[in-house]
Amino acid sequence: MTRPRTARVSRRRFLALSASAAAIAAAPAAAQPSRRPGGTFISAKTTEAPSLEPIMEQALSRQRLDPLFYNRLVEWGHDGKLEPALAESWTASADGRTWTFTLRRGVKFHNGRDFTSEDVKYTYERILDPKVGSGGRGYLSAIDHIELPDPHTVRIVTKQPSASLLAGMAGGWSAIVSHHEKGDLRRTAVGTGPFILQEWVPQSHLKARRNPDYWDKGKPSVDAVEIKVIPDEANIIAQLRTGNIHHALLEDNKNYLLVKDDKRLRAQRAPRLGFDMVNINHGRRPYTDVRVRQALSLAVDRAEVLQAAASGLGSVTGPLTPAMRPWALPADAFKEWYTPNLERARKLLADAGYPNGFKTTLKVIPTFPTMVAGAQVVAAHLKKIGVDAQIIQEEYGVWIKAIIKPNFDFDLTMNLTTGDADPDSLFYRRFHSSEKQWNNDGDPDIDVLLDQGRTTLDPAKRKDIYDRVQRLMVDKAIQIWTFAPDMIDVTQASVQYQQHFTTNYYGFRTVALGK
Amino acid sequence: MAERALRPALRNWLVLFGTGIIVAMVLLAAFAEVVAPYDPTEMKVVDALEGPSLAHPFGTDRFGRDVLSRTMHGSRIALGVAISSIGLALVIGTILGLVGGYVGGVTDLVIGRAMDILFSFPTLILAIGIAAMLGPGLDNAALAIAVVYAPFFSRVVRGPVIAERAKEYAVAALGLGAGTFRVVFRHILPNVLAPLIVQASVSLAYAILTEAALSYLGLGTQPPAPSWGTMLNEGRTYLETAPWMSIFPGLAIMLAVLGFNLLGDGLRAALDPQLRGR
Amino acid sequence: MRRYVLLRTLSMVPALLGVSVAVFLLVRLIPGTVVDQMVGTEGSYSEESMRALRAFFGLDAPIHVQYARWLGAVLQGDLGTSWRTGLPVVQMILGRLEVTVELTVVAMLVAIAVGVPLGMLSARRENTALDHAVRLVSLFSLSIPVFWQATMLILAVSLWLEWAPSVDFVSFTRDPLGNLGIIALPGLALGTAVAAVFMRMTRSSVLEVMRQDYVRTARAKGVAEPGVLWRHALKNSLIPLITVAGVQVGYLLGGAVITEEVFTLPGVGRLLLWAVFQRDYPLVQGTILFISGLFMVSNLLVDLVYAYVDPRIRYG
Repeated sequence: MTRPRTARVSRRRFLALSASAAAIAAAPAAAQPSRRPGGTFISAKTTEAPSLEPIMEQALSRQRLDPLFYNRLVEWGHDGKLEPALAESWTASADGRTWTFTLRRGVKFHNGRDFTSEDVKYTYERILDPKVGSGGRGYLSAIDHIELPDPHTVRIVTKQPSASLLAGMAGGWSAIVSHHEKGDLRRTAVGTGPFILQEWVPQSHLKARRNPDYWDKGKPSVDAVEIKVIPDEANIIAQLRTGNIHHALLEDNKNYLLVKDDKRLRAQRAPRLGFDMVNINHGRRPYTDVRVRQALSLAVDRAEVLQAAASGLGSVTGPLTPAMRPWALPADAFKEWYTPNLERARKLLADAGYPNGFKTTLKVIPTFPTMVAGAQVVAAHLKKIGVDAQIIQEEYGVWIKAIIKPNFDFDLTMNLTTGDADPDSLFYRRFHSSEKQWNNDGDPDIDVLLDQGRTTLDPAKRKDIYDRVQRLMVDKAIQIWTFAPDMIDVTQASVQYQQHFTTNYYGFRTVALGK
Repeated sequence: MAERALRPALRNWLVLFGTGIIVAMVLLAAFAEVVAPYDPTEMKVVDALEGPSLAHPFGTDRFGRDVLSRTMHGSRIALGVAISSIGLALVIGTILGLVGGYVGGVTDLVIGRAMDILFSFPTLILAIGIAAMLGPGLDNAALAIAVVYAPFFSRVVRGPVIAERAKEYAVAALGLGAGTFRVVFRHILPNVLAPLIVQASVSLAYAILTEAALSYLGLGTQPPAPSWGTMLNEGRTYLETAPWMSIFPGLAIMLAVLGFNLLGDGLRAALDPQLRGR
Repeated sequence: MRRYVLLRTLSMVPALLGVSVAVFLLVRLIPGTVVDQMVGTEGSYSEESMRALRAFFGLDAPIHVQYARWLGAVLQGDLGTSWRTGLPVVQMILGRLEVTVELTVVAMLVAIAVGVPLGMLSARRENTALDHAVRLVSLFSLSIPVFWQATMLILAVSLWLEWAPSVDFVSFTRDPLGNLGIIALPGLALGTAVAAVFMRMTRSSVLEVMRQDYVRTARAKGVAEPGVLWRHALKNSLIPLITVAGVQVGYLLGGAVITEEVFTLPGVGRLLLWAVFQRDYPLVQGTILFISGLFMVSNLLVDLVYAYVDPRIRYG
């Protein structure tokens, strides 16, 4: 049995011992953060990536994981700003169409090859090739062509000025792979990242050791990481309590209540980019009528949905979640629609020709607990205005087949997303009428703004555009945004771990096992 | 002497007890609206996760729904699914088992292997496949459970039928010119009733549990309808913070299983030809 | 007898063929394909890239061609490669088999060791307080859903004993104690549920047999009670017991999905469930074919034991 080093002694006794020791040694010891590098950091999660293929695998679990093995040219920092990673610096031309990146020198891939501009070109062109079928194409679609003046410079020319290009390059699909590695990347990982994949036993565990040649000196702090797959969160809680694992990101937020008072553990909460929502099929009656959609929006008490689905551990959200700090409007901005008003909702329905409401269906994926709980609350609220929403549970694969473009076989459906750090990346692919990914929607006013937003580089002007987009989306009830659950990371109290607003695995680069 | 006198009485008492449970369940299922204090799907999120109290004797769930009312209404779904699915499985399985065991030879081989094909599919996977094809819902879940459990009955019947057919009385009856049909139903069927009833009473319990597993995967009862399995499943993630959410539907399942089994034992004793008239 | 064994064994071939057709159609009748899974709702895919993916997996070929390709490979001993993981299907199954087999064996041992003696005891003391107590306890264990019982067990030991079964499976040969620590709780959880079935079967069969004329004769002749029980009653209740055992082995081999899930055991059941959800056709087909094969062999053995135990069973 491989137990973490910190857990050899019974935890209670250990705490008692260290408490008395601290009393004797007094303040100085406590003031100094006791960072001892090394050790194996053990984390657990309920689901694992079907494959690690960085530009093909759409599973969120893969996107979350790949900061362990890969780098991007630019990466999101803890403060929500883009930081240099494989690119040391970059400049944009005055017209905003030519971007020149100076690459970091002396970076090596896990296979021993040097990192050069060829690798960037190879990676991006593979993502952009429609024959390959990468899900990341949309993030980089602004790119017209890529020039390589020398091995350490990349020049990217875009079709039009692109405000979200950097965000796309920092996103979940843009990890740089070695152009020498033409083989199957489903089972291996050949990147420049802080950890080197050692062993992966599907549905059991994944082990990776510290990359001794990592370019960001001093990182990572631990010698190795191990990620266990424990499908049942009750078991994850048990493993945390007994000290068998160091860390877990909670899937079911109510389990926070089980660990928050446990002295042996530390739970950190932060807003999450992702959110839960109700999609509305604009292609079907009666949802073609904006008044009907507005009536639904007025009937749903979002705070109750949050309470029932995530034990209140999160926040009611508008189209951009609180984690998207510079961009998001607070939920207060939407008071007019977010304060339940059944009278007005009924009137809107009557005006639209449904004085007695109507029957409809609400789809939900049974293995997504927040969806199942949320659906029942939403259905109960809709019933109050005479809308009889019958809940239909569909297994994930069946559900996807039904709701994606061009099938759009649903009336209403619960849905959730991991979100995006940039408003253009989040909105355009999902709400522009040329893309319409979720609601079978399309609104000329919103289209115009979304087109402006993607080509406006000035941050203040851009902010103004997306403020208007958010208001318009809620006013027109394009869909019903409900809540953004908190991201809750639980660690052993001795572990120094910093949450990251995009994926918790960025935190693995700096995590340290204390004491 | 006293013990001897007590035995039939005690047996009757247990059978009576089982019958009582089942009758109570049937009555509850029929009159749930009248008896239950609340609407089982009515939500009051402010009252969520309250422990048992006078207002809510079984407490409330995560949506503030009354667990007592939901448990009462749940008896309708549990009885409906269990009886319809196992009834169907019993009829199909028994016929196939009787025919196979009695006729023997190639027919038996074909039936046996067909059952093996069904049987060798892992229970839950087969049910998932059927339910995914037919679409989610209670009726389809019942059908899926019936298909899954039919081979159990066929196998349980087949063995004893072979043994019984070879016995002297069946051979004698056939020799005396009795029709096959008559021999099967008059002589052989009563003799395989005992294992059949035991299997059925056990399967009724499994059917309720399979419905729960299917509901867990979203293929059984659709929310917010109260099925014991769904309630238990929802409650599972609240075992530490709100145990009443799963304890009461769990007790309901246990009582139902107990009832079916005691009733089954009573029936077995009554139907057993060796016991009759003693 | 020899003819029966031969016929019975050969009859597995068409049955396995039947399974192969059934599983092949079943996975394809469930809506959604691996391509939809990969595309999800988040990526932006063009029709062209979807077509490329379908062609990559050979899903563009007519269904009978797909079947012929698969069967051809299977007949040559190649179960194919998992679409999602890129690993050989055989390797994935074999990696999981140990856990499943061990869990099955432990559960069966627990079930037999607990169920059969209790059933006999209960039958001998029919309608006494002991009998009722045993029957009530067995009903109790029968009526707790496995997923609930398993969760309870884990929570209880982690809260009160501050111990949790390790989630890293080690094989018995490498670390016997560690292995038992992992398999004990789930084995117990599964075994008690099955023990109840054994107990009830034993009890009713023994009661049945004890009422037969020859047993009454034996008793009348003064054969001591334990002798009657062993020589006649138990031996004659073997047929229904073997039947039930065969059924339960099948159930355990493929049906322990939920136990495996809750206890994080890397068994075949979990692999299969995952494969179905991922629409990983080669993996689903290969795994079911494999489990079916195992199950049919166990049934074959049951039928042969029948024929051995009861010499009257012969095929015409």
